[in-house]
Amino acid sequence: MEKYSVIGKRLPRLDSVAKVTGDAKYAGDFFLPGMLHGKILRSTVPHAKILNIDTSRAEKLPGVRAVATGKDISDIPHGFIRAAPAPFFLRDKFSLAKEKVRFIGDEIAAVAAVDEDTAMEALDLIKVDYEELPAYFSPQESMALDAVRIHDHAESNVSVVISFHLGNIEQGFAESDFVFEDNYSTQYILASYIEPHAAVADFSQSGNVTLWLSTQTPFYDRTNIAETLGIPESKVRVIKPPVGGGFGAKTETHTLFTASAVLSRKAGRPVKIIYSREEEFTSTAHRHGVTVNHKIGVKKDGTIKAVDSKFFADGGAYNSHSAISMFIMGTLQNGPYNMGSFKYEGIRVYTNKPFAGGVRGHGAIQPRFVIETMMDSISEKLDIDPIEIRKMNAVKAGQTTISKFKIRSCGHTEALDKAVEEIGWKDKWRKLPDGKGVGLASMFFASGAAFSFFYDNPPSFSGVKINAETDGNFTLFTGTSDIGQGSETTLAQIAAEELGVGLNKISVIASDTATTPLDMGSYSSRVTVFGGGAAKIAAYNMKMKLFDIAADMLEANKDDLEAKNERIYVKGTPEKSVSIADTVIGYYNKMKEHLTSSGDYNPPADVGGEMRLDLGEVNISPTFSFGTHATEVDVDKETGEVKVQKIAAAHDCGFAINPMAVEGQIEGSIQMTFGQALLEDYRMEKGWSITNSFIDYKMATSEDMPYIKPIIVESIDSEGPFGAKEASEGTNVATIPSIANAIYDAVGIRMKDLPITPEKILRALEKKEGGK
Amino acid sequence: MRLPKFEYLEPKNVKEITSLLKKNEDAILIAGGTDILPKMKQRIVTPKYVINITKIEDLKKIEFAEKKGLTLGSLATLDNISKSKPVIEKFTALAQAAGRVASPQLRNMGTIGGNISIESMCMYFNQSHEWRKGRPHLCFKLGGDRCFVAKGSKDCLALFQADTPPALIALGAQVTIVGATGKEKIINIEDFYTQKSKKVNILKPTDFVKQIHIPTPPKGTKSCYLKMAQRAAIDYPIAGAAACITVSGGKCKNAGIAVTAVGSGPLRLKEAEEVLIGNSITDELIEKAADAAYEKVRPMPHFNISAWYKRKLIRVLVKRSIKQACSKAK
Ligand SMILES: Cc1cc2nc3c(=O)[nH]c(=O)nc-3n(C[C@H](O)[C@H](O)[C@H](O)COP(=O)(O)OP(=O)(O)OC[C@H]3O[C@@H](n4cnc5c(N)ncnc54)[C@H](O)[C@@H]3O)c2cc1C
Ligand code: SF4
Repeated sequence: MEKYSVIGKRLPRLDSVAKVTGDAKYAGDFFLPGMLHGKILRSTVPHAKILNIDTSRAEKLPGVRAVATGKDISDIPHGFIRAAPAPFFLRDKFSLAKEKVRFIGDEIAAVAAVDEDTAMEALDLIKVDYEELPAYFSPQESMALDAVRIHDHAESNVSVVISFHLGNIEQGFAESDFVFEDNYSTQYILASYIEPHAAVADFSQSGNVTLWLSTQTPFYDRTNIAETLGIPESKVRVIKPPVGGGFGAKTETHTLFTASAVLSRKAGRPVKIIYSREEEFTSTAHRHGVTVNHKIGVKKDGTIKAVDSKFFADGGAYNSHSAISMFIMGTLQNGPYNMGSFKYEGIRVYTNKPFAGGVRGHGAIQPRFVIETMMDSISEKLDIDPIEIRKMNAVKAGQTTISKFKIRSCGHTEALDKAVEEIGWKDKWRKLPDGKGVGLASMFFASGAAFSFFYDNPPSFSGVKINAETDGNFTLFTGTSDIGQGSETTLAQIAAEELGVGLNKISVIASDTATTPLDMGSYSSRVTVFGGGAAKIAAYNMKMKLFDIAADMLEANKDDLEAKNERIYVKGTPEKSVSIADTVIGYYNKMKEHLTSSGDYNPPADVGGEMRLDLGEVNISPTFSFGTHATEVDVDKETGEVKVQKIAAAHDCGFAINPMAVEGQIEGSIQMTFGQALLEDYRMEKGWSITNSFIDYKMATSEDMPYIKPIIVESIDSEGPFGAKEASEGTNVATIPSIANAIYDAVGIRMKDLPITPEKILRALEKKEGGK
Repeated sequence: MRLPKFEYLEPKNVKEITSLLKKNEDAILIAGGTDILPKMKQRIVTPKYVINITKIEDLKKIEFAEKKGLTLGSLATLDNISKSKPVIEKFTALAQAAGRVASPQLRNMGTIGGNISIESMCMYFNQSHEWRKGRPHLCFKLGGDRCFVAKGSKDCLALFQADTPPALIALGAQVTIVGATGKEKIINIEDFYTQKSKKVNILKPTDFVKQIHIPTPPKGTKSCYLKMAQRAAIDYPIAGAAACITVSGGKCKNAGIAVTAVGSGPLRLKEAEEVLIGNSITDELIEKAADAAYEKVRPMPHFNISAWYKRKLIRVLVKRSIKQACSKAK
């Protein structure tokens, strides 16, 4: 008999029909009576003091109902890190500029009018007087001695510095037989969800405001909106309807969220704001572009002894996740290999550009590109098989790394073996004709951040409540945010399995700050372990309440009961059972109260703790995923074109609650990093965003995508629900280096600067050939 | 982004197109709309009148007869052209070029008349109204005094990137233009282009393209269009090259070679053609023709693509398109 009846199954998502038929209502689909349309006035200069904003003409334009500026909001700035010790607590962004603008696209004013055209016209009537300041478009320019400060608090325009040292690096290098050193760079990229940001705000006469937001962190938005409006948090209700992708950028409380509420309060009518695609490009959070200097010391036999890593990140105009971004770019280098000793310095610099925040694969994409490419060079130089060198240095289950990560389960070796087998490594590596090659790269990732960097005293990291209905159905309330990954289905599957009912017996009510328990949001690949963990506990608690009643009804011992097939049985005596529906009714009759349960997930004691980002020795996550990508490419040596033929992507997700969903995550996430590897190039010129649409920003189309073979590896984790770990951000972390390494195998050039465009390949090939 | 306000007109026949164009100043023709609608949303064009010609069935035809050659109504869609049997067989380069434009959806809507008539593009110009209006200076194309692409340039250098024109040039196509008086004028497609970025074709506001005609190529003729773009779909060419080669008695009797996305218009490369004509085609000769093409083109950089790379690509694409054409021509 199969162990499970609902989990481990390839089940279609609960929302699939609604999405496919167009029935799903996204934030932008909401229309309320009397609703106004809002637009944002953005800076056209990269850096300036605002001397005066004259909105009088805009206010007089017929059809305009409200105009808001920095004067209409509180003095509390926002940013992703709200609860952390100084110097990491640095919230520096106002929804509407107070005194300065810091990039082209920075928000200055907002207008609500009877229609979009009128709102646009009103923007033209707002007069802003600037005193322009020198502007800087690269960290180097920003840090120049004579540069003016973009923020008063930031000396040399450094937004944050994170540095730590694990083990003894001097000794590590001294013990090394070889030291490899190299420089790399990665580009700014856009998260590129298909649904642009949307907000509908309805500020009622009673002083409560309800918002429908396209977000991945409704609870954080609630706090930010309350703080910006200067009203108690409990007066703000944020509802997250279905979301068409967020990929990290929607963890920011972008200005439309707060501005729609401010405008609604002023106008006394609901206000809708939807960002244009251009606004998405010019004014929302991007992935950090970095330049890296990396040194790895190894023994002759391939053992890594020391890593010295310097990251220099272009942070753009505001802090956003800053300290976390820089911290994880360092700490997430401590796996899947033991580094021996490790030193890291991550410097994030303000520039007059759209700010960088957290984007899928946050903090892992950049260092992984560097490390895995270097591992390839090292294995070549030492003449060790690239598979072997990865295995010999790999962390193992049960081990604690020098960064204090507790490795509870580890499917790295299995993932590696399966990926290379699928690509046909043995017959292909170094054996394919010139222009064809295979490459591989491994990775690991956190399953959720074990810090509360937003709330000082949250009730828990994630909460779930379950109501039992007399028809044998359950309603599950979760604060987690399904932004397209299918997490509502995952939580429902977990609860259904625990309760012994089918998936169709669980209805999910999610992401409504007024009715669902607090959850931190969808980021750091946390939802399955944290939200799923809470769902499992809540379902278990519900089951125990049902068992109490059923034990009476069946005249059996509670410990002898089991729930399956929508009934409660006495184990080993199948004829003794009672339906769950009858048990619920029995509960009502006996207890005279509603039957509800709740569950809260908090990371175990050996995880998290004080958020000391200056220490590298902190266990950041309850558990870690592992994986390997093996990739085959064709390189056209005359044009430099790279055709990725296949990516075999093996991912250790602990246990696949829904294998179809895991495969979807693997394939979908590779679309992102495939694009970052080869195509996506956000261009700016003197602070002006040039790539403002998908015709110019080359996100991969379905025709560009290679054949992806997702391979699920299950290591059955001791912490995650039913052994599950993340399958959300880690799934694409190895893509870029696996492509870069395959290019090396094909044509013998090391690409160290993203994106790897045909032009760069051709230049590198000419250089190589010229050198011969 | 929303469309600006305009008045909508719908001629029922070819004659009505001319009369509407004559009557209404500041009017624009719309065929598939795939090019013009985004430009209207960006307020690059804000016509008072939009004349939708797609109701005229006569202009949608694709007709082929051995004696008469191929006639494409200006409203023939790129998708239909790319899938038409005679086009695939006798005018391969055109089928390939039409089949590589944009994406399936856009090819379903996009027409050949629209494709040859699209304007040049530039990253400083093909932006929204909000974006352009915020910029501190205007460039030539907006009546300003400078070009952002090349400092010191005296003229606009926007890039012409349509896919089908080089194929049409290589195949020796002719364009039928109807003017203000209703009179038809037939010109070689090469002469349709001005090689000026500010206004790439010779059409006057009262003109429109009625059809395109290509004579049946002589026996032993094969053609090929190759495009290199950053993406496999929804992408203009970084460079595109078409070659049409007639081989008879082991020698190249005729050659048409043209490229796109390297300058202000599609470019016929006579120098490369001359290398081939009269000679038996060998790999060395093809290399020479490709070198001639390389020498001739002087591309402008575009976005993240350098002039250096575009030029390199022209050499490769010209070489490969000749080779592919010849491999079938024998
Ligand atoms: C995302 C995207 C990608 C694209 N990629 C490509 C590409 O790869 N290659 C490429 O070549 N093009 C590309 N295009 C441009 C466009 O889709 C094609 O060129 C298409 O063929 C235009 O035809 P249409 O019928 O839609 O033209 P329309 O938009 O209707 O018209 C285009 C222009 O031609 C004029 N016009 C149309 N018909 C006539 C006529 N009969 N007589 C006179 N003037 C006329 C119009 O007034 C207008 O100025 C792309 C467009 C988009 C939006
Ligand atoms: S090429 Fe120069 S003049 Fe022409 S549109 Fe671009 S910037 Fe303007």
